[in-house]
Amino acid sequence: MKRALVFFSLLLCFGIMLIAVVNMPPMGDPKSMMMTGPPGRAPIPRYLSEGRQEAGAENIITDIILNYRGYDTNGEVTVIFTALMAVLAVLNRERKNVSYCDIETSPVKRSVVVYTIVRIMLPFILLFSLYVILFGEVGPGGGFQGGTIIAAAAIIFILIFGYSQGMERFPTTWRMNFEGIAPLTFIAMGIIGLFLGRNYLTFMFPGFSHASNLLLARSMLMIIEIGIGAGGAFIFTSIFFAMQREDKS
Amino acid sequence: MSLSLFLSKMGTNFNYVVAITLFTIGLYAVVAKNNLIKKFIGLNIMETSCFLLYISMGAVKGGRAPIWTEGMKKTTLFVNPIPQALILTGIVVAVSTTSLALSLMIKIYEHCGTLDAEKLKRMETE
Amino acid sequence: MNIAHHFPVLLFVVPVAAAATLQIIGKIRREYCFYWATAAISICAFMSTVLVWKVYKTGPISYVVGGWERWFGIEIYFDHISACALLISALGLLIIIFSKQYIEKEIDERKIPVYYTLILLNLAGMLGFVITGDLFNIFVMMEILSLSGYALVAIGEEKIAQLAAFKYLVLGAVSSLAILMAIGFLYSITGSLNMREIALYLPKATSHTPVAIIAFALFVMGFSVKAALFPLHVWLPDAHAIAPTPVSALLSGLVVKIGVCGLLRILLIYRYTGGLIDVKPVLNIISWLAAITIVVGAFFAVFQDDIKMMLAYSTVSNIGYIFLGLSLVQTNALVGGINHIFNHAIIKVLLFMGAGAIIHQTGHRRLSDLHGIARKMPITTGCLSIGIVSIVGIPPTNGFVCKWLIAIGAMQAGKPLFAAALLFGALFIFAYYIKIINAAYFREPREEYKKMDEAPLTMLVPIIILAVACLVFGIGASIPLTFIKPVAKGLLSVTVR
Repeated sequence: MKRALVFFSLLLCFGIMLIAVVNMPPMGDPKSMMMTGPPGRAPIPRYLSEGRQEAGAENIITDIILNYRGYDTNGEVTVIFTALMAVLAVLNRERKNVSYCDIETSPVKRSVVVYTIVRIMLPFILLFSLYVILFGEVGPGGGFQGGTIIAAAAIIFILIFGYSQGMERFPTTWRMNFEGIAPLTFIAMGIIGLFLGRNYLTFMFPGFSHASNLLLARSMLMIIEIGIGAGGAFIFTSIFFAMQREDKS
Repeated sequence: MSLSLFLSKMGTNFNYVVAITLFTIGLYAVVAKNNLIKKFIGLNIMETSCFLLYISMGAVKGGRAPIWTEGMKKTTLFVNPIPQALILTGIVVAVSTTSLALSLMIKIYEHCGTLDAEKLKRMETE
Repeated sequence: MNIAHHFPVLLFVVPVAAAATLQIIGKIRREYCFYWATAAISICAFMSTVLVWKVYKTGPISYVVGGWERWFGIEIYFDHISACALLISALGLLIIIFSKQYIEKEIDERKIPVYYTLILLNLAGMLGFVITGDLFNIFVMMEILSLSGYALVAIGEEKIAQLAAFKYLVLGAVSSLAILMAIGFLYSITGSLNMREIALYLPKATSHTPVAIIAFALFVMGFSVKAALFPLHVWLPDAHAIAPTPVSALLSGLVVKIGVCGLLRILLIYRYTGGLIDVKPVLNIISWLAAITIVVGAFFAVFQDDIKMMLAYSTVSNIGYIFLGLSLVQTNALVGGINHIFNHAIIKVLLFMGAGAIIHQTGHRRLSDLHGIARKMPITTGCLSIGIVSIVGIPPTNGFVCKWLIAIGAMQAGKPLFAAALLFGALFIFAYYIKIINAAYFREPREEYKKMDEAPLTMLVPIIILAVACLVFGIGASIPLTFIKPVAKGLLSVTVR
């Protein structure tokens, strides 16, 4: 009986959304409402044609997320910071003198193949992540993507090399200071706009020439990217450490 | 709307139809599965289907990625960059919800020894 | 640099900056966390007062982040609904002051900086939600406040806290996804994410009407889960009763109102539809569900022995009042409903704080254990009884004003059944609260209470302030009403076709 009810309501839900989806503008239409927008006030054509000069990056998406709609990205880094705080609220931080489940004490021994490959590849992975962060302005990539790669590298390191090695390289006391770096970088760069007489998160100012404006905008965007990347990396590493469970054996 | 028109529209908007199918499948997993982790995987499927819907909305026939490299003129056709920007934020939000849910599950397993929703409901009312 | 011009964005930025640095402050000395958080929220309260005053004098303020035009960048639009920001920051300040003594007893002391950070982030999310004028920004802010809400419910150590938080999380995440889908649908047919722009262009998208209607339905479903309307209220009683008391006050008093504010914003978007989308059938369904919520909430509240569980069910019932006021398209009901958002926040925070003070001092939560409290904690119980009188709706408290308006509106809209449901709910609650007052005042105190004192000062002062506010806004009810009438007029010029 309950199953029938569930199936029927799911079918109803699907049917309603199918009606919505069938009536949506056709997919892939270059003349759709989104691309041509309300006439005279269309955001997309302006983003695409003026973005490079107005906002300072060749990758239009980086323009949008850091410059035009930077406030949303500000909210997003706050969300990821909230996630870290939420995980710490539920599971406390890892303690100093407690032993955690570790590859040294696990019944599955560390494999020589995996160990060697991780040792060789780790510097390249970190280099790649730095490339992704810094080249986010001219190619696909960006701050958050690079930060996640760094965190993934750190997690692989801790898993293969052991928990004690991990604690030595990423000690808690030092990590704690940098977790808030992502929202703080954003706010710091945004406040600069306030001091120079324009609104929050402005990157181009009236008193400068166009070339120096572009340089200023690009460097501010770069600083924010590095901030987001570093912040994301620290946050994910801290979440991983917090999820370690005590070795009860 | 006649049946043939309906079906042809479903064909043009095929990505959207797949997205809402995934949404319904995910919703089924959240509602009907018993294990907490399976419920959570259903939530992840629902989130991914939303992303699929958004990104398909941004597709343009013959459009290129919106990155200015050499050789592009003002008349080049680009895809819509806004859904991609929105989804970058959406993915981060989904990851945050995932990490919180997983840490809650770790704690629940530590306290109650089980991840079965029925057993947990009985334990709750004791 | 005219800093007052930037107050709208600083309302969100200041709590986030304070939260990001709170961990470092907590490492220096744990006691400083409290002062840092209090300072941040006091600044917000000051800024919201200035902004509300400006809006009252000169009308809504528009501030685009980045200095772009409105249809380009993200707009912060501080209008009459955003006056909730003052409510949020003022009540947030009182909750933080209250939690200083309470939280040290209740949770693990290593988690205290994390607790203050989460409260600051929750308040930042709420402030960001009510001031923004961009549709996707609403989603991001809602996620900030939802995530911190889930974590705050789970911050205690009991196993049932984690289960309640998990249930809350799953339902909240599904509703957020419904809202995200609805935002996607609206974007695809109008091409803009700014709420005022969408309101202008929605009537022109005539070939895609079903999409707009279904987007509206998804929005209603998503926000109803957040605001705990029947039958989607099932997460609320557990989550609000299990959480530490200041957190329950925050969630019951403020976070559920965010769902209502979201729905108000959506109703404002579907404004200029000129007959394209008839929202009346949906509003009809909402009014029936609201009436059922009132009765169900009050009914279950009566049978609870745990004081916080009872207050949680009472929240469900009062949300029913608010939705009833909003969905009857009638001036008095609408004004009463919006006024109840404001009043219920004050009353519910007062009630939870009073209950929290009693729980802190006695260690008991069951009503059957609380005999004779009034002799030992006179001020707390006195303020608590003012709160009780407010929520039942007896003059001259503020609860009376809004319930009266909703009842009058229901009668004028030709639906006397709803007015009866209102009365019914009030009578239930009245009967139960008589039980509390009887237990507190007219029984002999137990042995262990002989040496008990009144609650500490940091807990007492917010309680007294809120009790006074109840009386002030009851007698001087015109103060919030002058604010609410423009909102009601604006909404009504729309929903009545």
